[in-house]
Amino acid sequence: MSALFLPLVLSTACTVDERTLVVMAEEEQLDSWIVLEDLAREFEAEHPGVHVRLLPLGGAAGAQDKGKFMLAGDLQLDLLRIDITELAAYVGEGALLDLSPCFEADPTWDPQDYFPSVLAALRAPDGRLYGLPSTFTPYVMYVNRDLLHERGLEFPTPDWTWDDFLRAARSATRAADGNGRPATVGISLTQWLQAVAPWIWQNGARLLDDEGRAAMHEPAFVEALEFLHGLLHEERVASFDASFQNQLSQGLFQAGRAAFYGPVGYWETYRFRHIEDFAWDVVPLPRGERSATAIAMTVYVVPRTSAEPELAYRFLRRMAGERYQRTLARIGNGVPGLIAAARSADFLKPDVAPASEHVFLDVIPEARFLPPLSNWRAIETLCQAELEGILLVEDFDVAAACERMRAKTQRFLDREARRRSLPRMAPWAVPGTLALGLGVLVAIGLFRRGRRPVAWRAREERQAYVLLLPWGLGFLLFLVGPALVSLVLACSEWTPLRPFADKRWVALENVTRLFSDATFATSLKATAVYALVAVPLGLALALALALLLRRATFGVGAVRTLAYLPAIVSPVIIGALWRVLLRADDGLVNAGLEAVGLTGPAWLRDPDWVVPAFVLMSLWSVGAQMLVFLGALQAVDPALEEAARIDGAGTWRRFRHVLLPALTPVVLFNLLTGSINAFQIFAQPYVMTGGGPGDASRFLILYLYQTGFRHLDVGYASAIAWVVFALLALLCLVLLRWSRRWVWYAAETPS
Amino acid sequence: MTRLDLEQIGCTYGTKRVLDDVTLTVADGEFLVIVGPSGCGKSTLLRIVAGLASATSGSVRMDGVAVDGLEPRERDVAMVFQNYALYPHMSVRKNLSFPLRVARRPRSEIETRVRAVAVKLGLSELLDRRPAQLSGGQMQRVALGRAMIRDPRVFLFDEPLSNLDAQLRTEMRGEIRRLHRELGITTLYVTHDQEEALTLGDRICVLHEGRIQQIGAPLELYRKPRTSFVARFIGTPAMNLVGGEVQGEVFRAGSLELSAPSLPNGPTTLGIRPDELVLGQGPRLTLVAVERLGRETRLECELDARTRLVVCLPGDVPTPAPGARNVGVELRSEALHWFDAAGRRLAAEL
Ligand SMILES: Nc1ncnc2c1ncn2[C@@H]1O[C@H](COP(=O)(O)OP(=O)(O)O)[C@@H](O)[C@H]1O
Ligand SMILES: [Mg+2]
Repeated sequence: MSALFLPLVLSTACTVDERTLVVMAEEEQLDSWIVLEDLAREFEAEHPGVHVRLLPLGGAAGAQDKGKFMLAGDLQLDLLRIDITELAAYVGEGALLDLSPCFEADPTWDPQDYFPSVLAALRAPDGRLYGLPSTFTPYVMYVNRDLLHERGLEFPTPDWTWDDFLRAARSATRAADGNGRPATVGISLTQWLQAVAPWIWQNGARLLDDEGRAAMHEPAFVEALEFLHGLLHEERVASFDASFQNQLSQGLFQAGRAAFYGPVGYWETYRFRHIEDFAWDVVPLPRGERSATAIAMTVYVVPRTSAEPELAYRFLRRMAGERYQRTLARIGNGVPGLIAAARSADFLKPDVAPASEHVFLDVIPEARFLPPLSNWRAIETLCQAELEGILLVEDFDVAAACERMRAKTQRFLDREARRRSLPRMAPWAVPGTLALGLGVLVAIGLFRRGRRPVAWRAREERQAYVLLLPWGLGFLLFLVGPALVSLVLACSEWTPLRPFADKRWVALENVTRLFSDATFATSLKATAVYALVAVPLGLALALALALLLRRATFGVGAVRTLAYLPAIVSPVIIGALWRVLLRADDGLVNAGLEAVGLTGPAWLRDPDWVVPAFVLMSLWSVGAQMLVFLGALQAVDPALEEAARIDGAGTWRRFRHVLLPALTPVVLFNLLTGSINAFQIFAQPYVMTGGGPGDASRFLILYLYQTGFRHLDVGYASAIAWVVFALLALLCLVLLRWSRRWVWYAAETPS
Repeated sequence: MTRLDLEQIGCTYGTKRVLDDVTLTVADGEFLVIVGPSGCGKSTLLRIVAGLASATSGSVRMDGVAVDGLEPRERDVAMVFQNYALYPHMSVRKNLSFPLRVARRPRSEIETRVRAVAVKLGLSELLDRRPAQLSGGQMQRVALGRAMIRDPRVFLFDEPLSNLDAQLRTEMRGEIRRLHRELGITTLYVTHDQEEALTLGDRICVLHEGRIQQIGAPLELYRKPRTSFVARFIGTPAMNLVGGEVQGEVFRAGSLELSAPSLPNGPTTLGIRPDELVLGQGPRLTLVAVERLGRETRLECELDARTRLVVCLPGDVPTPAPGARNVGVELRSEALHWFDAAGRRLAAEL
């Protein structure tokens, strides 16, 4: 007996003895994951008893939220890769360990090994160092050499100017000619904040002024954006395709149809490495009043929930050490922060395009990070809406948009400043609310139960409760509990970067904030319009389809399946598919419209058409509703319709007086579920537009998500959640009340 | 007033022949009952007349005019369904007035007609109820009312009474008869219940597997069934049929021997109604069971292992105990029906 237990005891003892290092530093699907695995095994070999557990960086579309929630849950996390734009937020919330003592105690540490400006970005104002760089990239311009040559243009010199650029762009722009050659544009212009920032800096403008206040209203700032707006809408030498959302799905440059592409980072060389149709290279950005460019970077940091900071530091040095940095460079991840790796052949790759990799190193002196003040990821989403407006919409008041950008950013900064001085929330708030909620539930249960039942019924009741228990527990644990917690959160200021216990009490401020939040108003309006149009249209279409498919004739089974299919496909897949279908220039929808002589709108790029585009898409997945209608139609006694036919009723009257009344219960069902679904639309805009252009498709739940996970403002997001819930509850109540006047139930016998 | 002609109606679903060469005429104002076992094509025939289904071949004429391909409303027929098919969300009033509302008749006319029909059918108190609040008999009346409210040329009934209990059924039968007498509308009435057919119809048409077996007045069918199917189908308890063979004017079935003058040789079926049998001199049978119904006494007898005969004696009469052998049954020759191998009546009856 004991012999059986022995191995078990031993193995438990071993795991207790083993130290684990939890590292979240790479995406699982990338090549670097394998390299990191090698590194981990090597580290384990050198440190017996240490197990390195690699977790993939989670989250789609660059939203690396998993780490944040491990922090929020106080789970062990020893090494984390984050984006430099979020570093200030992490540091400000006390989410990182100060590594300075480790560096100071380490004889092998020499700051000179890293690019000084890169290292500086990782230092707090007081000089403390929080991590080491992974790879970074300055923004440069990609050039189609062949296209320039074909148009008789010189390859740009490193010190070319805006004027040189504009001239080249103009000559490179050609409308499609009769020989079937597609149109070419001067530049495929990137459109997110970090990509727009270089133009702003080159024009002598700035994002924040010396006091750290938003400075987007300053004339030089407006002028820089007007220049870009001009490229797109007056000069018409630029294309729209390189918005942040479209970045990974297409590229005019990749298709050989843009002379320039940028400003953009090193990561594109990885995507372009298979281009064989033309020669391409990189050059520094054209200079305006001065030269400047932006820089993007990911860094390794040690979170406060690290259980093994000492080991974490050692592993960090490995990851920022020469071998791993050179491997990352060879794979094409970015410019290594380690100078030796950056200057090595692994990065410069003499025989792989682009020829001028050194440009990425040359521009480092003029490259700037976004000011290390705050959560730039949040400011970026705030500004993105206005940027999209400026760049995508022809008649747009650039100065007014810049002013809005300033106001939004300033409001955010003000709140950030105020946040840390808010009073802490009492520790009993969450348990108290949970207990209160539970108490109310129990009280309701007891009250509704009423008189003590007779013995056999009591026994039956007990059995019923036992059977209900698993569901009941799940319901309490995963629904009621979180809902109550979010109620507490709605009255607090909290970011997942801080421990859950560290919530600040703001009472109803989050709710009052909603009233002055223009984005929320837009979001509410967009959602309401969407629901108001999509739900009735969807109902009508589902009903029409059901009526068509109801008669069993040849092939109907296949058609029914086809009609239902979209309803079971993941909304993310549908979103990805429709993003292609709805493309303005070569999408299938517009091709279809063209075939019947109509010019389709730019759908996802046009603030007036983006909501209709989502409505259109929603109609594509009415299969589930159709199925419900179909079931109800088949339950209608066919004799009723025949009776109506005999009574002289035509198709319409038979529908109106016989079928429709029988369908009213499922109409109500579909109306309710349809409205709820419409109000909760999320996945499609998340993958298709990210809320843009402007805020035009920032539907409520998307805004909620971005508030919580991008802006890291979970309290406000919870308030939004509760307001959305209240609105939906109200809507359902009104619908149910109203339905009493037109819904007819078969079992109903009115008195 | 309308005369209805069905001419060689045939109907095929897939490979299944549901109706085969159905030709019949319903005279002006006549009440014709189509009777047959379930699945014989009665409803199909009715639906073809109504215009709800179309025949594969043949033609329906109303007053000599072919109506094939016309919508039901253009044929101006009214139909009562087995399950009543009342519009469940409409009140009785709305149900009754539906055909008129569809036809956009003036409101005042609708009002008076609804009232008249309600009075005629005793529905005046129920006008504001929903069908779900009515009893079976009341629903039946509403269905009748809806059919008659617009004075159709032809009434079609598809087993309207089969969902009612026995007592209500008898009551409603009388009602339908009365209404037909009052309105005089040409009526085609379908049922699987031969008793209903016998009591209701001016004439009866027996349908079997999509073919007309016989058309005639109720008593004609009872007395002179043209096929063994009709013989067995009409009348309760069903006619006794004994399969045997005629050889030289003698019918033999097991131990039974009967003289069968002027019948051709060959396999032959003997038919005799239970109430035409009396105890007396004749073949010796074994009494298997006795059913006493008060009004009559039924004896179930066995001639041999293959052949059973039911004897129906009027009144509650003394009988031998079940199990008794050698019970004599008298077969009066004028009560015998003869059918050939194909089930056709042999003309040589006496
Ligand atoms: N629409 C149809 N498709 C296929 N077969 C049918 C259809 N309607 C009726 N039948 C068949 O025709 C036969 C006669 O049906 P029906 O007229 O309803 O019989 P009855 O009313 O005499 O009981 C049945 O065997 C039935 O299965
Ligand atoms: Mg039938």
